[in-house]
Amino acid sequence: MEEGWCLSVINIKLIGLTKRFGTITAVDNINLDIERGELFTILGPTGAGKTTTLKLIAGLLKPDEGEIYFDGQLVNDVPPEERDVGFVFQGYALFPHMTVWENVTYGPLVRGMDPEKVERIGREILSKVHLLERADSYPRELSGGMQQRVALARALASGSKLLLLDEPLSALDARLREELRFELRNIVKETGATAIQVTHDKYEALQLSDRIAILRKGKVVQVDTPMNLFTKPNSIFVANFICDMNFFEGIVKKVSGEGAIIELRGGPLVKTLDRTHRVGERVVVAVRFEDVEIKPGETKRPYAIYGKVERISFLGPFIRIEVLLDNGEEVSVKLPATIGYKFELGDRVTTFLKPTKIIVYSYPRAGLAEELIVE
Amino acid sequence: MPDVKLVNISKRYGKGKIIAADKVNLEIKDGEYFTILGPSGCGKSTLLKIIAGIVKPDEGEVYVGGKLINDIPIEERHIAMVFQNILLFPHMNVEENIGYAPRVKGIERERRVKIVEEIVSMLKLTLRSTAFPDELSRGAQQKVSLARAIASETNLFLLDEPLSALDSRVRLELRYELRRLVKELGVTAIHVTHDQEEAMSISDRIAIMKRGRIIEVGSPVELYLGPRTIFTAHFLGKMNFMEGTVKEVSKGECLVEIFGGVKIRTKVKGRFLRERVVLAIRPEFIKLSKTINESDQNVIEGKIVEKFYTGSYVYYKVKLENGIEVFTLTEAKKMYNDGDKIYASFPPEYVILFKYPEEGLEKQISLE
Repeated sequence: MEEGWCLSVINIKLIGLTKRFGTITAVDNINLDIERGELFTILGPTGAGKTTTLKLIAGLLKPDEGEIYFDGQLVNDVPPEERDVGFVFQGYALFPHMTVWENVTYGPLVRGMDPEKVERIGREILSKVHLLERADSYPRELSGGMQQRVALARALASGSKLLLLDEPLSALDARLREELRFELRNIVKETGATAIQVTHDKYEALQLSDRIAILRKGKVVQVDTPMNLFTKPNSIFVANFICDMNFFEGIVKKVSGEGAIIELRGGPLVKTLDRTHRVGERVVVAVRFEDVEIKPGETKRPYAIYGKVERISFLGPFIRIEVLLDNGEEVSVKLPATIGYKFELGDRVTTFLKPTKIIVYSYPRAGLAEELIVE
Repeated sequence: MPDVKLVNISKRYGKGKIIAADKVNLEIKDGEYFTILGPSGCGKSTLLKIIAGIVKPDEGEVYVGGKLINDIPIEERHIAMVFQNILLFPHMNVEENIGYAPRVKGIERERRVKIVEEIVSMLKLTLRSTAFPDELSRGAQQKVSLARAIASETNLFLLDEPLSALDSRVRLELRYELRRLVKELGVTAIHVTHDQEEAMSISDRIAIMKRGRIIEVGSPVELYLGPRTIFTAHFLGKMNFMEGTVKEVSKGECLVEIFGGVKIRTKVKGRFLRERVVLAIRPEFIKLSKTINESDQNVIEGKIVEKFYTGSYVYYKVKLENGIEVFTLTEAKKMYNDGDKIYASFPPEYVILFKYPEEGLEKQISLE
């Protein structure tokens, strides 16, 4: 499509947004700037306040404190039906007495869009969600996955200036979800609308979004592009949530021009390029599963840690190997399946944490375990 | 011991219009972690319910431990079930929920407490045993329902999407717990799911099911790397498909011509000569590079159309010069940008061939 069919594209500003339910603060002083036409994702575990935030933006809930601006205009007191928002929920609410075609074209027609344009958009969106040939079906004749796609198509066709997507894919089968994930970004981008998506699935967030906000207990802990979040998570919580990450406790032994040496529990040493911590400081060493080298047998090399293969999980393109290290800790390694297949349960192995990939965090006050809780 | 055998199991619903199970034959070994994987509505849950005795088959026999159990009522089958919707007794605390089966069986209190303690430590449940279900997170609730199933001391576990209702992070953690427990207890587990990665990572063997039929049974690696059907190839992870015709067959190789006259060499042994075929290759096996390397085979020029960042790896959508689009999965170390000209190479050893299906490719890979 040469231009988006969204009538006007807006930016969203949230200032000090707070919402309490009884004694629970579901949304705690959230500040966010979402740009025009941006596909923005709010990612976090269950109960982090993601859906509440979305409902506040839609006007389905009233904030206790804070302001919501659409294009610089305060909308706190604007009722939901006047906010011009397209909403896709996890449960799909379609008009049961209307066909797929009628469901999808209802919004733009009511809005007074030129019927020829509606026809074109309707056909295009339905073919994008692979449902053009089911245009004359009624919702009850469709599978759950198809109904969810109709709901999506309806929101996308609506021409609303803001799309709010609450776990739009999570009611679908895993395989279909994966397939639609690749399509969803395309379709949303083509409408030109600003879109805010809520999910607890990191892959969905990483693959789809321009930017991601990570929410924890009602607070935004980091906002960034997918790549920056993945490569530079600012906290143990974010690292744990967005990467497949190993964590070890350690003490900084030596800091020099080229990096630092950290002693893990039980004595093994690791080397890192990170020099920001003092000698003697208690730290957490973080390294992604895919940034751990693993070799069969015991090979002598500096900073190697030896262990035994304890578990092997086949993931398709990858194999995940869990190694019980000789210091009693576990390390997970993710390898392309074509390399990983040569390891077997019980094998002695040499592991090596890549110095360039290690991230070092100060030891958290509440303890490491507390930072790793995701529920 | 609980090996499970299904012989010619059929089940229809809605006056025979919906076929949930169509002459299903399966043999599940004692102590095996077996998964039935398929899209929604394929009949996988019905199969589980038939084994449990919740649903009666129209035809066929169910054997557990060599014994025909068709006419044995649910309560006498000694099977533990864990469902997607967590069914804990809301008025009982954690300890009472876990100790429910032993109590009903009339085991005295002292021994009951011991059983519960053992299971709690086995599951690494760090919960107050006096907590009520609604005070727990969903992940913890599902752990308690697993604990309750274990306490029933049965040796056949039926797991119906036990992880689907959980947060993705919690789901991953519990996955490994499930397999560990089943193996530690030495029980047989039949797990039903629509999640391919879940199935591949925990199962000894997987049965792929579609529209009431078992399409293929095999170990995760067998099914992923050497699928015998197009449906399995498509359902178990991402796959690129291209239509083609076999032009030449020689010792240990055949040459396939795909759209636009492009020829692809494969290691598939002399079959399908002059036949129409479907050529398949997984995204992670396609190599991308800026220049042509001597060692690369089946090199086709293309252009990056789109990229999907997934952390250490990136999915690229590549438009090949013959107009066909393929997905590749490539390390994120060297990133390409939209519009970049690249060379895609298809290593012959990773190319799979299927006979072209009579009803067409689209129909074969349809998930619904």
